[in-house]
Amino acid sequence: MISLLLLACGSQSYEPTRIDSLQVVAVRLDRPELRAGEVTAISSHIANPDELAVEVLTWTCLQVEVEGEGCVEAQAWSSPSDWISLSTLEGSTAFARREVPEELDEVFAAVGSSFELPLYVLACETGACPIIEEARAALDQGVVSERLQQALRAPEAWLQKLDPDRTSLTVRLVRISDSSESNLNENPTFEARFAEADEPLIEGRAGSLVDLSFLTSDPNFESVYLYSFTTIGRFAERRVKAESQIVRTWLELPPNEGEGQVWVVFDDRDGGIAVYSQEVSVTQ
Amino acid sequence: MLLPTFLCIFFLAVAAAQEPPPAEPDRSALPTLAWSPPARWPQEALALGQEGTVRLRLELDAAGRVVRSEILASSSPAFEQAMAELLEELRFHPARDAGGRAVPSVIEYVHRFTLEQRPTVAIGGRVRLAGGETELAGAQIEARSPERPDEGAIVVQSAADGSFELFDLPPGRWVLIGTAPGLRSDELEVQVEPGERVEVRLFLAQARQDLAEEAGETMVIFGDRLEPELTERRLDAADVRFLPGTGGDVVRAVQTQPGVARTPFNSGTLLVRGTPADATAFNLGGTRIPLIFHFGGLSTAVNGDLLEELRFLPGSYGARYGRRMGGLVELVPRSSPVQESAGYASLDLLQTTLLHDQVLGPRTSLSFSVRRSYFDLLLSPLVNIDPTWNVRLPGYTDAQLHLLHEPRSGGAFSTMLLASEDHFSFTALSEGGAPEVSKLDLRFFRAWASWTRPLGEGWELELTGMLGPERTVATLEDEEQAREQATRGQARLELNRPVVAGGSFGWRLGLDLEFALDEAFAYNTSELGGFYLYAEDEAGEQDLLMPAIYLEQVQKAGALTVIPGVRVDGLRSSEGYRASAIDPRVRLRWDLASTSVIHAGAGRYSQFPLSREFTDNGTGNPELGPEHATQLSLGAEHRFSPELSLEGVAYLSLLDQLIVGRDDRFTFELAPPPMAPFDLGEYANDGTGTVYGLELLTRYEDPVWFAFAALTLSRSTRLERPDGEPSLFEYDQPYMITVLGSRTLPRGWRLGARGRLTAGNPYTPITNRIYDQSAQGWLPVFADGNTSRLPPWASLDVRADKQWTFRSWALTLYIDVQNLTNRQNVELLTFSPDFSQELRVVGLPILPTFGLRGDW
Repeated sequence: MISLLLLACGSQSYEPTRIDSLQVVAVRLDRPELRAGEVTAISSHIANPDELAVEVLTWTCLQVEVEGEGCVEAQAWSSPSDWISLSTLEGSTAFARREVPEELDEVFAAVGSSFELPLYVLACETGACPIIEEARAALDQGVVSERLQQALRAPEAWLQKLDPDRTSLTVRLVRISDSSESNLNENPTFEARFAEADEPLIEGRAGSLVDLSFLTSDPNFESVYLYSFTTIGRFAERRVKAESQIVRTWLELPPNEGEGQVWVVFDDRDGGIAVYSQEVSVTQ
Repeated sequence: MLLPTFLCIFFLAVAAAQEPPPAEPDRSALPTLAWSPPARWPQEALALGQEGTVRLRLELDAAGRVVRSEILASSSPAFEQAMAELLEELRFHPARDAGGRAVPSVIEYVHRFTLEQRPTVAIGGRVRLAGGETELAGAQIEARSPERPDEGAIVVQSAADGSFELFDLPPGRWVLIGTAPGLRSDELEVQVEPGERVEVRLFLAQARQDLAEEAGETMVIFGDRLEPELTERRLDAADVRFLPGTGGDVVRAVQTQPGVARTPFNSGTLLVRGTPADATAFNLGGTRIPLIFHFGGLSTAVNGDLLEELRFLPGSYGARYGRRMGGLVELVPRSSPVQESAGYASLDLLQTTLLHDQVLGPRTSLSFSVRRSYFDLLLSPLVNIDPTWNVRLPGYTDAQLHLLHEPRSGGAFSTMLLASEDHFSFTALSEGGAPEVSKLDLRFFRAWASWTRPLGEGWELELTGMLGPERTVATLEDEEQAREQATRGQARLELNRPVVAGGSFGWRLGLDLEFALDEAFAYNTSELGGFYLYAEDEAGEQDLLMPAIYLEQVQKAGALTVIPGVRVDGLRSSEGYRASAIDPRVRLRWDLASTSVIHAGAGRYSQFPLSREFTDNGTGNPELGPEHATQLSLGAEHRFSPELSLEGVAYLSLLDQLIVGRDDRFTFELAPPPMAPFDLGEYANDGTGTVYGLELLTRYEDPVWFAFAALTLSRSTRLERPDGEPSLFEYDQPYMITVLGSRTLPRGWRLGARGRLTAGNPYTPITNRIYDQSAQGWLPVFADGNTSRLPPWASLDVRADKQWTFRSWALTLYIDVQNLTNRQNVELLTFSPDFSQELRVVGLPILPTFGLRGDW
């Protein structure tokens, strides 16, 4: 009975938009869907309100039974740097690059004409995550041990021991298709339409409401949802569905002056995203 | 009205005599009897037609009251007792001096009890052996007035022809209890009217020294113990009804017993000795019923007032019971027809109840009970504060019809029809504005019958059968998501040769066949969202046959009783699944003295997997076998006095082949789902567990007080997979303390209080989280299993009852206040949607309930 109550009411739970500690807000791929042999650029948008010194570990780990307990990448990719990378923040973004191997016939034979590859982005304050040191050693040595593969495959085992305020892990799926796939997904686009859009900074008075409106479109004509995050104030709604090309969301500024940053993630719910990011200044 | 014969009064001393002045008339006077209440005659003397005389020396004060007395002589000690009771109420006209002033005096007074003036018979009757024509001589008949609980019982013995008489009882309700050595007692309630004689008949059944049933850890919550030396473990049904915090529901008294852990929100499941809820069976007359408590545990599904006995067997029970590895709650329907038509109607904030017992003949009675909750109707408007949704709080209805007949040829026939329905619904407006209903419905119907018959040579045959459908359906937003249904039946044939008084051997042999026709399950839950991601849809339908045979032998040698036994269970499904279990058990009982008993038990208890677990439909595992528990216990009981007793049990239970896996499945659980990492592996008999503990219970009971204190210390651990880490059982509660007292007061008052303190349940904290961008949601990262614990849980409950007795009926008003101190007990833990914060869900605030009950 109680399960049913929770089920019935669970969808109405309030989800916060406020970010108070290190968090990987969004991971954008350009392009979001790939064929064997193609390259994509990874942009990880990271909120860092405490301004920590941050390192970013990005990896994929495909688990198919034909490859046993480890990651398929350890066999299919030629070197660890093809599927594991370390980077630092440039502003609020960390960058990486991936190239899908040409030869994935064995994987496609096992899972079909396409599969979804889990892509992990871990942001850590420098020194807070032993896994980053292990990854660095693996990159230096050119070999990823079984133990590290296990750790990359099941991050919950070591993440449970880390401080959530100094670490953040985000996972997303990347669809990889064989060469027969011709209609690959693309990221949605947006154009900021609000008054402050041309300004380098969103400025507003304490306690005021900032109206953020965007013109959105999706090359594949998919529905676009807005997911909003902020390190100052809060958004009225975490998720907004774009019912038309113009979509709006509202940022409630706090009663005191301060500075922060907002992210609005445009998500086609099929792997394609675009990210609007802007700094915010609150004045009295 | 009885008036004693006043024969003579001797003046022994008066105030100093004075010569009266000639002018003044002498106004002195001797004391004379002014008023004597009806004497309470010695019932035995009356029955034997004896007369008696008591001679006393009395000191009277100036008001004529007896201030001191001394018995100088009497014809029988029984009359002395009757005279002593009479003295306090005797009134004399005082002695007076010559001036007419009242003065103290000393007199010699003789009171004679004569046959001509003996009291009228209020109740007369006979005591007879049940199932035959034999009149019983020497049976003891105890009469108590529930309206005068402070007064002691009146006890008489039946004459050679089984007859007995009770003289001059004050008008009102009287409870008669007939007992005789080696026979089961009989209890009867009668109404005595002024000047009228009530004829009654008491039937005492052949009692058996049913040690096979009694040796072990049977705890009779109420009912007659067959073993008189264990009566200290018996709670009187009337006492149970007045327990604070139970709302007057006798079956809920089980939840106060040691070894029973609390579930969050008191949700109505029983967690016995560190085992899960489904390890405890609920039986009615030896056959399974699907549930014992309605939703939320507010009331039981069967009216406890239709029961003769409520037995709670936490462990180490005999081979008669099986298919479960935990405890057992046995509801025993009345076994003898009622002798007087009676009933009651009650009304409280939760439900209304109507029960009536109708005598259909000297050996036949029919009882019915109907209950309907209405707090769902009353309170639902209070919670429906949002116009876009409508909650109908849980509600229930149940009804029972019970027919009892004792044929002249002996034995008894008993049949009961039961129906129960629980419902809960939630209606929300869809995005398009159309109402979408989510609801849960649980219904069952049972036809139950039992026939017992003596076979001669001490053997007895008992046939019990049950048949009926049951169904549970969950609907979410107008779409049926989950359904379980079946028509279940059970037949038990048992041959029993109890140990007769003075004997050494007894036997019990039984066949127990349980079956399910068209047992179907369907869970279309894989599309449900939120945290409850149920992996796969499941469906199956099949017939189940579960035959069992059991044998027990009772060997009694002096003070020691040994009961070895074995039970063999089988399971066969129409889809081809087979399983079996052989469970040997042995119990010992050592009667150290009439006041002390030591008992021990060792045995294996097996529980078959559920259909969904063994069905070969892609989600089940047909290789599964039964789960097992090896139970060991050692206990002692001692009675310090007729009122005060102490008992203790130490136990160890080793669980193996526990079924684990598929934690992502949907279940109709009545308790909150665990917030912990899910084991998503295939079902397997990989789990093991250890449960050990100590239970202590001390109890005090007299006509005025009923009190007990219970302490349970326990530890329950699990190892889910061989390569995993051991962790605490999700409802492991290292300590549970219950203290309860209830006192009967004059003028129909009764007050009680209950205090409870238990350790909080363990839980698995969330130490980190992962953002799943593809789902735009958070995934929890758990710490090791059950490594944190909720704060201790405590509650103080009080209850007050007031009864008014009228000529032909009685009215009782009660108030029952749970959580009197309004303590904010943390019942369970949830987390914020991003799993960054723990959210504590507290239990009920102070909850007063009121009720009325009218008995006729």
